[in-house]
Amino acid sequence: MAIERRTFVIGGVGTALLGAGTYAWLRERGYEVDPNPHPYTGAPRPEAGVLPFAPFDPPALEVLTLVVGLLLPGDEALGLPSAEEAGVVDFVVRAVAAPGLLAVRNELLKLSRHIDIVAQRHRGVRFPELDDTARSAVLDAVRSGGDRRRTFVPDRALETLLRVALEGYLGHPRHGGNRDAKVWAALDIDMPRDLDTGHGGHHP
Amino acid sequence: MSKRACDVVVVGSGAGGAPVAHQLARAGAKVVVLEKGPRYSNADFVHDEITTCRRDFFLPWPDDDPHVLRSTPDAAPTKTNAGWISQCVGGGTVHMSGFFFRFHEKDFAPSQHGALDDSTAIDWPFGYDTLAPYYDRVERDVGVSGDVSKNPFEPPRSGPFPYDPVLTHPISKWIDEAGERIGMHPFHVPRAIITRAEGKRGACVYHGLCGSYGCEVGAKSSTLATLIPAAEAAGAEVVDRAMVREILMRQDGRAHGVVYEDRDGVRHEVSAKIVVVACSAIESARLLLLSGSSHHPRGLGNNAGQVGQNLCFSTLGKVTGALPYEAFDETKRAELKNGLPFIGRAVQDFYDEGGTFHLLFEHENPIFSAERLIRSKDGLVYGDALMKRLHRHFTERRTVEAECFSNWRPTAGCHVTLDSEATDRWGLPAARITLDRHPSDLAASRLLVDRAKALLEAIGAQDIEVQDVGGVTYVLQHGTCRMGTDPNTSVTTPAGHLHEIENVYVTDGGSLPSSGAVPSTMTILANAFRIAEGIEAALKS
Repeated sequence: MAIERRTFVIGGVGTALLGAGTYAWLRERGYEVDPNPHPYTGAPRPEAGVLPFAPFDPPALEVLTLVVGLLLPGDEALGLPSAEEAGVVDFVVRAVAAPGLLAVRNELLKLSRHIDIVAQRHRGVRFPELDDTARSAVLDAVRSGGDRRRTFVPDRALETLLRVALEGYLGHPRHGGNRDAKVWAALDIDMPRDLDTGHGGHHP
Repeated sequence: MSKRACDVVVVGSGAGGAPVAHQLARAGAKVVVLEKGPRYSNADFVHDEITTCRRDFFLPWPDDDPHVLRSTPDAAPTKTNAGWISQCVGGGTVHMSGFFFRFHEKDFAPSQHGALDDSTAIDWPFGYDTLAPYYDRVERDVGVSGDVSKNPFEPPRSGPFPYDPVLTHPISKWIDEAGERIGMHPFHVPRAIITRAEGKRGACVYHGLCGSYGCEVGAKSSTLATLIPAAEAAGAEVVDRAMVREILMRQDGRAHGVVYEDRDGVRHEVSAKIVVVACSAIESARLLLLSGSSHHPRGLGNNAGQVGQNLCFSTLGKVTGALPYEAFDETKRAELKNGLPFIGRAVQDFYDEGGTFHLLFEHENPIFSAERLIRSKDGLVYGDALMKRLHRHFTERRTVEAECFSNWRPTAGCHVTLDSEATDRWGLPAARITLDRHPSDLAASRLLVDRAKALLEAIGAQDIEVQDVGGVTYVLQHGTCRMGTDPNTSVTTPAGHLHEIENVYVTDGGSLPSSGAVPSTMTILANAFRIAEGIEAALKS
């Protein structure tokens, strides 16, 4: 059975609410759903970090780190921090270790392999050994989606990585990304950071 | 299996269940409320987009608790979490935005407003006048703020709102002026948000994260903040993480209680004189269908095959427009940068032919906003181009949305059944949702979207984009157990109980015969209060 997204609209949005999101987006595109390795027992789901091993092996992590850097390079003139400065990769590694995101982890692992293969096929070396210009060209090739396969769609996997990276770039710092809330500061985003009170937003 | 007894067992604690618990507990009945989800406190309602909006805080993972969706009667079924509203004490009222409009008189009599060709719509068994006192009660007991003076289309009402309207952003003046220029009458949106402290509830603090979040000060009028604690104070017992598996029946054709599974997987039986089903239009229908027996082989209340039929959501249209700071003079630019989160303006000039649209700022969730920027006609946007888009979006402009709500006309092709393959984590068949649209829905939605575009243009919005026409608001759901006088076309009586079983009631959106052309939460609450009064009388008799 195929898997599809739920459009959650909360009270209007929701409208969306609640609507959108990485999972929904993934399911809409037919990605595997969470293999549910923790059958319901009545207890709350385990928190992130439950994998008994690192979600990505070193070569995969190396590729994904470089790709995330290209996706969210920052902009010095605009005062925007880079993915590295914001701790985005740390977030991604932590996030995909959660049970509900294992399908995402598997997809990103395939993406890293695919990018390395494309680099070797067209440039003769691994992706990390390329210069920035060549890496961008490889990424553009992946984005073009010219190498579609039945069970793995590279351009969609790249979009998945971007969406998860955006969570780490713009999400609450307590998840490990958006380090010191510096992205919010750079974009004048007035999100409450004090989780004890929840206050700190707009007051009349 | 443990057993206990009460007068009334209520399945669900949201807009359909809480009014019943509140009414009957205060009348002295012994009430047990069974809620499938957890109970959150104000301290749990943190403004963390990832946790609250992008994980399983309010909604289950589809693998744990799936729905199965067919987007048209002929489409292949797909596994989804569409159709869940919220799983927690308070249900969808916890994360709602709280736009509390009343239905208009025309919503109660669809047969008098346009042809019913190809639709299974029926008139309500009563009119607006019957529900009006209960709307008053919702505004008073739950807490609704607003200003009735500016809406020429407001249905008849007994008096002003009990709470002053929420403060609105300066551009609400722009909208009022623009509306006047183009012949529209924008008015103040009534909100289920209180503007002065009341008991343990704080007044609104205007942080702007209402929809998709719980309210950490209790200003939002969720049943968790209002009716549930009041019911508990009157003696009601609320059991969270309690999954009701079936309604139990006696040989004499009356229900005698329910069986639920607690958080540890242990089953319990609650016997009761009255069973109230209020766990959302989709899930209430599912529970009735799951409770079949030799006496009710097609499910409870389903001799005519009506349980789960006539499903209608709310038809959604959405338009966005940008207000770049550079496009306005210094005065207007300063107004635009004001931090108040609510625009608070709605238009009902086109209610009869379309519905209601209201204006609001784009949701403040930054990841949600950013995701709208990663696509272009050339494909995925990232790198330097995305950096510039992010900067422009968050620092150089405000984005305004018009949300358009119009009627969803029921058809024979739109319904809920039990899926033959997918099961939930309790091993029970999942609900299968089949969508079908009446052509008039799209026309009404398109009309509203066009009018909303005109108003956005009139306030100077640029880059206006139609995001949705004729869309589905899955969290607003109705019709699956609708009230009526004819048991061949309805599931419940005007009093709210099943035609076939006098002590099983349905009080959520499933009992509403039509969706209306406004968000329906307030009407669900009002109708539940109305039915609860009847249950109270039945108990006393």
